[in-house]
Amino acid sequence: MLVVGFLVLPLVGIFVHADLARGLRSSAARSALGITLETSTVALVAMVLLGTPTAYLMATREFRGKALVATLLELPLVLPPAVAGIGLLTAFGRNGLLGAQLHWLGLDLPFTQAAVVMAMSFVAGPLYVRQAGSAFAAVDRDLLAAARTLGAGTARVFLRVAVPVAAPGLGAGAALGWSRAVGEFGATILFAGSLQGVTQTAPIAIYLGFEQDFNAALALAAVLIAISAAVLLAVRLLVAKGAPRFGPA
Amino acid sequence: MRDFALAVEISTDGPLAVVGPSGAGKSTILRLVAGLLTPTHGQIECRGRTWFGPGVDLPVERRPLGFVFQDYALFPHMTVRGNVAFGARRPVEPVLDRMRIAQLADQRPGRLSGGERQRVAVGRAVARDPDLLLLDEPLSALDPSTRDAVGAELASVLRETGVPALVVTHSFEEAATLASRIAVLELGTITQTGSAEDLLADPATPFVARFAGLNHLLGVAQGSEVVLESGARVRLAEPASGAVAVLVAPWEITLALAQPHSESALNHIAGSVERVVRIGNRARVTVAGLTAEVTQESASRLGLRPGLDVVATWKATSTRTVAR
Repeated sequence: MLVVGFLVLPLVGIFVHADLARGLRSSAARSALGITLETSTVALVAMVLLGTPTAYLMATREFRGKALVATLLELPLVLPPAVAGIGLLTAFGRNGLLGAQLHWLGLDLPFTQAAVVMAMSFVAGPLYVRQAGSAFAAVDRDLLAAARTLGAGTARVFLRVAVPVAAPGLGAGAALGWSRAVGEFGATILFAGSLQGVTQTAPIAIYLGFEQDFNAALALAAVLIAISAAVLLAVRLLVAKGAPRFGPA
Repeated sequence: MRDFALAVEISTDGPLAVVGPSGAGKSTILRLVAGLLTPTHGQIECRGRTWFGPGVDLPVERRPLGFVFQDYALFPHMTVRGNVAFGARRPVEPVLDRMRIAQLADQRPGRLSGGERQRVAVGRAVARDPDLLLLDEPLSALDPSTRDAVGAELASVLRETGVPALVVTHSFEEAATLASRIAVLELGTITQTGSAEDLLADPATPFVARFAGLNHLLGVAQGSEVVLESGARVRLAEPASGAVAVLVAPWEITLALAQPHSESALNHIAGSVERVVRIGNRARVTVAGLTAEVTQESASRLGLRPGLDVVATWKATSTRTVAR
């Protein structure tokens, strides 16, 4: 009871104090929300397109140095987001490892929306890859073997069998990854900054609004809670839907 | 993994069953042939085409085979028709008709019975028009009440398609139902190949005898007699010597309440009934380590029940021996 109260009371507090109508009248709040939805969606697409095959290969293939690769893929999960932000700057910033090459290509990433997407992907991507990996690991190996004996090559086994069978788990992973991206703060503020209307996402706006426009901050917080609750519900539904499939057919 | 030294040839005149104790490597053979596992060396050929050999390792998806998995491995997100069509290289509808699954074509496998799932799995493999069918314990996922009927059906499908088939099973009855020849695999070596009748008539090893359901009693042969470990003596039709297992089929043994008038051509072992199991119109009775199979009628006439003292009798001529 004590635990539940401790966890729930802050959420109740936000809704008690928030005046959604007034708070969301602030153009800064609305643009922050728009930027968040936009960049997190792009980050989600990138995570799913690149992360799904990666997770599949990690779950089904054996190769030398696999343990090392698995560790590197999970490292961002345990890194403090601020460290991730500094890291992104030192790699892709103007004076970073690839800064000169990127500049020559006409790509100046820091303080752009691309940087927001990169920060989100860096922090949330490994979460998705890990969830997708366990979803693929739960797929009966004989299903994949059966597809191969029926003439399917790697790509067809992946697309026609592995992905559809793992779909509920992949969906749950995508939902978790996306909500992590929506909430991204530390890496974004360091690598992408806080340019209002460009890189200022909702969590950053909440932090700044704390001093400038508390009503807007409260309203944004309430919206983020609603998003999180929706994601959690979606995950639970997907997991419930997926469960019988992984049981004895 | 254990070493294998196998030379198996499969012809089209009927399926070959590979049988053996669990852990003997039966399923491993199928996976090696399919390419799901890679042998360290060896040769796999089918219809004159090398699947595996020096410098050759055809990937699974390019080997023209049909694989029926033990748990059938049907794709849960596809309909029955989708499953059969997945790798089909011939029209799907006739296959659905032949396997009697046309009426289930639009259902997902999750809603089917075990027997129906098995027919889908076989149909999916056959629709591929394979040069070779591999079946891993195709009846073991079924419950005993449907196993016989589904087995008979599968046997006729295998006969009809005329595709060479390799069936792995651990049951003699399944092997005898599904295959015309049986190869017995023990510890990675084929110890005997023959028809079910051959195996029953002349088992090469104690395992084959046990597997075929024959009684086997351990003892030492001295001429036309074997002294069992229990001290009892068994008369043989043909002399033998050394450590042997005495073999006698359960249906050669008759049971009586008292020892019939002694005759030199008969063997008797007295003991208490340990167990009576009724199977159809037969009763399997365990007496002094022997299993006798008698008609239900004589079981009731004798009033067979655990604890009853009886005498088991069989002819010297139905006794065989195998060295051990």
